[in-house]
Amino acid sequence: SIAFLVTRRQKMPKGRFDQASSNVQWMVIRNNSSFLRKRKLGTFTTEPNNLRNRNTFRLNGLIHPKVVGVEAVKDGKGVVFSTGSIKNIKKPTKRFHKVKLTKDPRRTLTTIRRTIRKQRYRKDLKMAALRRASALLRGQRLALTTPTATTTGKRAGKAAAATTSS
Amino acid sequence: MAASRPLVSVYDEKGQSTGRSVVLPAVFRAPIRTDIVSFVHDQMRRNKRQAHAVSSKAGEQTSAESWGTGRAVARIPRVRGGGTHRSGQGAFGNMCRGGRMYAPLKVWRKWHRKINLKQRRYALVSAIAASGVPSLVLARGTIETVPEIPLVVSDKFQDLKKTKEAVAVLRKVGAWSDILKVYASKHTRAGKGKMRNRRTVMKRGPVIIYDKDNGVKNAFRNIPGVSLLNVERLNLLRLAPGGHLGRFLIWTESAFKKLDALYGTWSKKSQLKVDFNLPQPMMTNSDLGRLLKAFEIQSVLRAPIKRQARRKVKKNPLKNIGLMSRLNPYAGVQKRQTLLTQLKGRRTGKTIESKVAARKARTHASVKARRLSSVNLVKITKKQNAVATKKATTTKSS
Repeated sequence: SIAFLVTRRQKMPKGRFDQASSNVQWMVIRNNSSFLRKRKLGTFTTEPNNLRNRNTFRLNGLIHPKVVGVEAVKDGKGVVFSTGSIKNIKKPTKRFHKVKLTKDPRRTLTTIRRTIRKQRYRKDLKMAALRRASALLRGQRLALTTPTATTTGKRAGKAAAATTSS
Repeated sequence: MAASRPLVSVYDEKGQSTGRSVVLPAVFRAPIRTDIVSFVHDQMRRNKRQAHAVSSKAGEQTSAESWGTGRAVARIPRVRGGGTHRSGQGAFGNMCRGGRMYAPLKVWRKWHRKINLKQRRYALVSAIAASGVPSLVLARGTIETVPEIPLVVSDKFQDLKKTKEAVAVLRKVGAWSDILKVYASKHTRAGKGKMRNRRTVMKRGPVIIYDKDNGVKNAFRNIPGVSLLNVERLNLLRLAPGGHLGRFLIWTESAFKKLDALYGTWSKKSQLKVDFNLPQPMMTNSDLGRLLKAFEIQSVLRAPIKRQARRKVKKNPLKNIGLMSRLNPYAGVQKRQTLLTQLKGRRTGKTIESKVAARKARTHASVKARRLSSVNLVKITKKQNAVATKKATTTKSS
């Protein structure tokens, strides 16, 4: 990780800290999780808010208080954009603030981009979020345009992914 | 961010939050040590083993003796006598049919393991701490229908008597999806256990941790996957099944409140365990992100090297025109001229007549004149000069 100079001098407060920081949690989860999929193709995870389904510290959807998730709307058009609230980390049912973005793709992507940028909310995930949304929307579009979309190959996979993922 | 001990709300049997809340016991802030848990779990698992062995007589109940050399047979002991199939067959060795196995199993193998009390307690404490971290519980495989982690329910849980009520309560509290997962995972065991009364296997569901059993045990014990534990006798094999941290635990209020007395806080020793206080973590602050940004560390670091000077590949100027021009600016011009002359030669038609005509035109005089007239010709080396003059002299002489 890149160390950067801090203009304000933030001294570390003294005392005992929460032991379960994201880093510690990562050391537990990294090789040992129900979402882990180790294949010859590579190591992936299926946890809900991982933007690339990659098993890395930064992209993990469980560990961090601030988390970004993009999933397709089930049986419909659009995308569900979820952000994790820092207040409710301990309450799984309330943790995610989910927004359904069902307008045209340009607006969806703009919403995602602006939310991340303006709130400074996990800027490192901005591109990943946009790409994921883009891919999901594209899949939905293809599922509609191709008349025999349910037949073979990649298209069927994309359509299936678009409708069943979330 | 010092070790905060936030308030945990208590939920009733309808899954609603009652007004009450309990301060998070200090155990949940203990260090999470997967290595210790893994080791202790591994050792503990051996303690339920039953001795097994092979009969000491197996394979030895013959009076076989080797026939020695010279009989065109291998030298293993062979069964004596005659009149039966068995006579003359090999005996005693692990490689022989009906012989004793290699290293026959003995009952006095060390089946159980003694684990240090401190280690056992450390592992338990780590397991409890891990169960309070939502990401670890979710990663292990609980589903996110739970209202809060750690989940504390009112003491009415302990008074439940009927399994029907228990199921209804689990549904309301959001734990039922876990149990559905258990139902879905029931399958036949792989291996000989099938025929040894261990036919089905299934996943582990939630643990109900109670303080006083007023019927909880009977109410919940028939629900698949559910484990029941008394706070005072917590079992690592149930809190970290498979050696993996993060099983979903459901605490009753009084059980939760007892944890501080059982395990102590760092400032107070445990009241119910002899000479025990919570283990000290190796790092007081394990938040790497904040550490790296902190002034104490940043002030001691040198400036980051953003552009590293890397090994420069040496390119060959004879092949690389750019480099050649840098070394010898005239090289570009030379090259251009040669190219142009070549092109000139190419553009004129190369018929035999034109070639003959060209050769005729190339008299010595014209060549010499050309050489002497132009100033910007290619620099002629001494060798070339010598050859040229030699040529001139020889032709002159001939």
